[in-house]
Amino acid sequence: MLPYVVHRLAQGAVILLLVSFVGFAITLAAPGNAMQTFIDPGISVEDLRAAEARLGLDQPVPVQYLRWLGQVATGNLGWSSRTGAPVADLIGARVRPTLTLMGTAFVLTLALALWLGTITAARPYTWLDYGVTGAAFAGISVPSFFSGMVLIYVFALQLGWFPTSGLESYAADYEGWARWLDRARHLVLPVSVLVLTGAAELVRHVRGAVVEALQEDYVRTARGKGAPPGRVLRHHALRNGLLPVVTLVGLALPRLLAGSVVVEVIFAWPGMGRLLVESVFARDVPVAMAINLVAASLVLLGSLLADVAYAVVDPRVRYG
Amino acid sequence: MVVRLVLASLLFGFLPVALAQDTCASVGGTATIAQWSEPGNLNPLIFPTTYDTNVQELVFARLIRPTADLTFEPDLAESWTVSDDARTLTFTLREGLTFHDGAPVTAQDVAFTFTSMADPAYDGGRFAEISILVGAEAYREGTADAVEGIVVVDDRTISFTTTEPFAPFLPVIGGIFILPEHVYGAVPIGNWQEDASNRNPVGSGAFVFDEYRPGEFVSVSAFEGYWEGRPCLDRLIVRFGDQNTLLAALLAGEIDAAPVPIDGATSVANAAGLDLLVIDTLNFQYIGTNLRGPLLGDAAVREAIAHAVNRQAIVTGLLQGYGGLIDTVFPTNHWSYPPDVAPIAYDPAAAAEILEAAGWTLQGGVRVKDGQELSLRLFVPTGNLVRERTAPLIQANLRQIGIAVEIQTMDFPTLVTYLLPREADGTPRAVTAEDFDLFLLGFGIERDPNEYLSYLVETDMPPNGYNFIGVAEAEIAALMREGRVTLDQDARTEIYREVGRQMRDLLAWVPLYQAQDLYGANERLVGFGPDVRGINVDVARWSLR
Amino acid sequence: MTVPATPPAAPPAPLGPPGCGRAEGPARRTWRAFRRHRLALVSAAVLLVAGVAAVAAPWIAPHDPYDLAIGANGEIAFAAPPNGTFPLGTDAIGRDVLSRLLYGGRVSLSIGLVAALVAITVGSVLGLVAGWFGGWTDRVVSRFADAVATFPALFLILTISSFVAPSVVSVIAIIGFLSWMPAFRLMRAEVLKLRTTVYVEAARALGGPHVRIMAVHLLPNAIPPIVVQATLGVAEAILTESALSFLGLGVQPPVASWGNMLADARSITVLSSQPWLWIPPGAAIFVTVLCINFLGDGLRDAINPRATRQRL
Repeated sequence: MLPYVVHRLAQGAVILLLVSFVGFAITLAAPGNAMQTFIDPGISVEDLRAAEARLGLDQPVPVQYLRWLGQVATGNLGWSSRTGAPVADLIGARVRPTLTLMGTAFVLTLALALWLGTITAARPYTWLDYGVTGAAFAGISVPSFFSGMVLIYVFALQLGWFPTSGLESYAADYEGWARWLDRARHLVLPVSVLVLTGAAELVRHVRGAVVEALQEDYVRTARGKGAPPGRVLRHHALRNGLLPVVTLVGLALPRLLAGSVVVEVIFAWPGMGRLLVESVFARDVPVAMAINLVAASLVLLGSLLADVAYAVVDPRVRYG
Repeated sequence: MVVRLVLASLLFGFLPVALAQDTCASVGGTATIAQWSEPGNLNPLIFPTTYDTNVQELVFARLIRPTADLTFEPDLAESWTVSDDARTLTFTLREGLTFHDGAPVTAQDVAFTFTSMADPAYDGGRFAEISILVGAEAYREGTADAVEGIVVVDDRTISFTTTEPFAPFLPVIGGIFILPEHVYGAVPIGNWQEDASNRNPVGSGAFVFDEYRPGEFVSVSAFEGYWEGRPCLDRLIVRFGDQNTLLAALLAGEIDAAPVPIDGATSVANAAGLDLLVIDTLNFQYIGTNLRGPLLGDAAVREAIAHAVNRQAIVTGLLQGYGGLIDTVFPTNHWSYPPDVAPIAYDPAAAAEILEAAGWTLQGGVRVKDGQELSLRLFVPTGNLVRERTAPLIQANLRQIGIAVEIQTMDFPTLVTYLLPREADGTPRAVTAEDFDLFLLGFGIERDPNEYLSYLVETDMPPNGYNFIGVAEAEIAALMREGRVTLDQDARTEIYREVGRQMRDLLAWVPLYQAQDLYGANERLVGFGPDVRGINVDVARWSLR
Repeated sequence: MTVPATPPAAPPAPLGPPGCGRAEGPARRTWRAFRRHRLALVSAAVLLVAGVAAVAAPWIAPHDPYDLAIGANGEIAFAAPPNGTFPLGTDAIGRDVLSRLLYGGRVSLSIGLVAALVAITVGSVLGLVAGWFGGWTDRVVSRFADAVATFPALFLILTISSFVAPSVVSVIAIIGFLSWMPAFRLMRAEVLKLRTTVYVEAARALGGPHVRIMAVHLLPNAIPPIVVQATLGVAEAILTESALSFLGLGVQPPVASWGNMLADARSITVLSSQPWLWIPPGAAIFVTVLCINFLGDGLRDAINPRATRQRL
């Protein structure tokens, strides 16, 4: 197992290098740079160019890339060209909100998928089955920015059940449990959008796996021996049906990360996706590059964990 | 209130006094306001954007500050004098001023602030503002140990001397926040942007900086030692986020005041407990023209464009009435706007005749002259929804008179690459007729019409300045330069009005409209009253009901 | 993004092959099968109508989608509710919503179709090469595919589209070149499987040229699952474009796409009081994506009910 993990990590490092290279190569085509967003009657072109020179924006792109790479190799992600803030700090502050959002959405999606997948598998081709599947399909067919807006309109403005945006009630100064409750309330709507747009596929997978497991001999045997249907479903079919779902965990990460971009913008959530959008518009290359690296690392780590988990869950799998 | 202030000063001598009880509807509480973008730099000497300044205004104070009628009133300085030769301004600071950390505000801090802007290592973009000071260039080039024109007379007195009489010097001073030397002087100036102080400002303004949570908010709290007295609010939070998200937060009562996009105006106006505030600004929008080519170099074409665009429809339809027409390059509510300027009438028939008379004849749907088609690109920068929406209207209007327009939408930094072009190797170069035809952009007076200089004089065409469009009128340049050094306000007013009249005839910028800003405010926030100066007007007097 | 890059490995849900549930009577099974096909059929019909409407837009659109309706006195009907002249009303700028919807359909559907086509072409070619030659070629190409696949596509798309001026072509290229991995995996797996089958080995033993063997023996077998993948890719691309439009990086105005029409209507006021601005593009996206998903599901079953679950 250990050599496998080491091998995967080395592979990951190569992929990250590739990602960084691609990212920088793209900036070759970039019209404009960070300083041009500051153009203003009060600022002379000379002053503007002096600042460009300090940031190295007047250097050829390969030079900028090598300098950046050298910096990153020493563990320094550099400074934002818009604000001068250390990139590591900027991103560090954003990772947790993004992980909170994604983690909650993922756990809920999984739980929902297991539940719906199992009950639909138990009664395939019934109205329940069609209803759940139809709803799941409908969920993925609406652009997430629009479902987000509709949720805000209905549940925050019309009904007033949940806050519209943000991580917590900033003016309230809640302490202890009240603060956690307040944060949880702020999570509801953004998480709902992610679950709505992500559940369909998992539901279909779980359902398929369970349906298949229900036909296996050991399930028939268990049934034949008179085990109650609920027990058969949970203990025999679901457990085995779960195995392939584990691999999906790794695949779900990039998708959740991508989905979080729009959701973070719409709910003013202080996550990485929104920071990426903002830095892209500000031509803040160091920040955008670093976010891509961090996101790619998260995804690689996620898929590694998923594979390891798979090996642990399924004794038949052995990694050299 | 003024009377009470004087009385209190008498009673307590020079000590700043908490006047909250007297002048506040109530004391205490936390108010939340919002803006559409996150501030970038909180050190006011680094490339300040409006979003930065909105936050900096809470924390910092200036020597003098603008009034609603665009003159200046004392802030940290209690008074100032002008020398006979009009080149030296001397400011006297109030007594007992302190920064938020308790250190006194002295003339030395003021000198430090202004000298920093001329430091060889300084690259925050604001050197040009003070380059008029005697010895500023020499200090910047390292050939002098100090800026000769900045003199600390005593702890409370400082004087500035300019190389020539410089009319907009008061507005320049009124735009510079005073930094504490013991905080910012401890950091090498070349490191200012990266340093923690850029995210943790210390000033002498109404509020003490508390916390900046990236992506969420900046939080400030009342400064007990503020010279005007302790602000009424305990705490003020500035949130940032997407326009529509913040509008929803305002409607839901999570935010007390926020700017409102035009699309949201009716929602705010109809919401119980919310007021819609409509504010005049000094910003307007125009169509920029590249004067270099044979098409837009033809005055008839520019005139036809001006008459063909239904600007009133933009105001009533796209602005929903929140704005007005503008007929030259200065905002209509500024003293530089010539009241007698000839209005630009919407008259497509006349526009077509002008083109016809100039030899542009219709062939198919498009006019042609000397084998050249009257077909233009219109570059539209994103970021201002109403402006983006005017593009198809302009296109349709121009099509009516036989001008073909191709709209190209791009973000602002991309537009800049056309307006300030560079060679392939990155060296800035001059604009050519091919770089662009028409573009949409906004302009506004921040403090003084002298800000137009670089946009309108021939010597400032790229790569030397911002005269992208290529205005080469000697008379306009002469007037702009005269306006810089003319101190008599009446004479100065007339100079800029003449620029306005000439620019109206030249139509190098086809003026479109001057939009108003919309704010929504919860009724529980008392004293909130933005005006031309921005959102933070009288912030020390805001209170919660 | 919002639509998962559904690997066709996903076992069919309710629309799946009849008979794999609990024991059902033959009549009941047939009825289910009919139902399933009917849903896919209806979806196909709806998509056909949408496609025809988009293709025919220049002939059936009542107005110019880019032109404002300027009246005799120069007045313009901004955000007019549906009426006799404008069946679906006008947008905030005074353009006919129905015409823009039709033209927007051209853009959105072409983005979906072409992007999916690019993706399956790139994916299939690489998969074919990797699977057929094996060894180092396979390893390099597969690692490359892994790298692109593990990368959060929207992040890269965002970074790219900020630097490449957004246009229909760039949006297609960006989406297409970043979503070829499922097709690659499918094709490679199919090739690996078929390589060992008797008839390909026989062909090889006979010394047939690589290209010919691939074309004659591999393609016909590999194409069906890839068609399913492509179908789902169309839906994904349409949604990705709308998300990009929302972020201001999609198809740029004045060109209409369903995505930027919907993004343009993103305002509380519009949502509550100007439904004609958001319902048409919203419904167009919803119905199209939903139908494509149903169709893809139906196709998957029709083509090969068993193959779909082998990778799990």
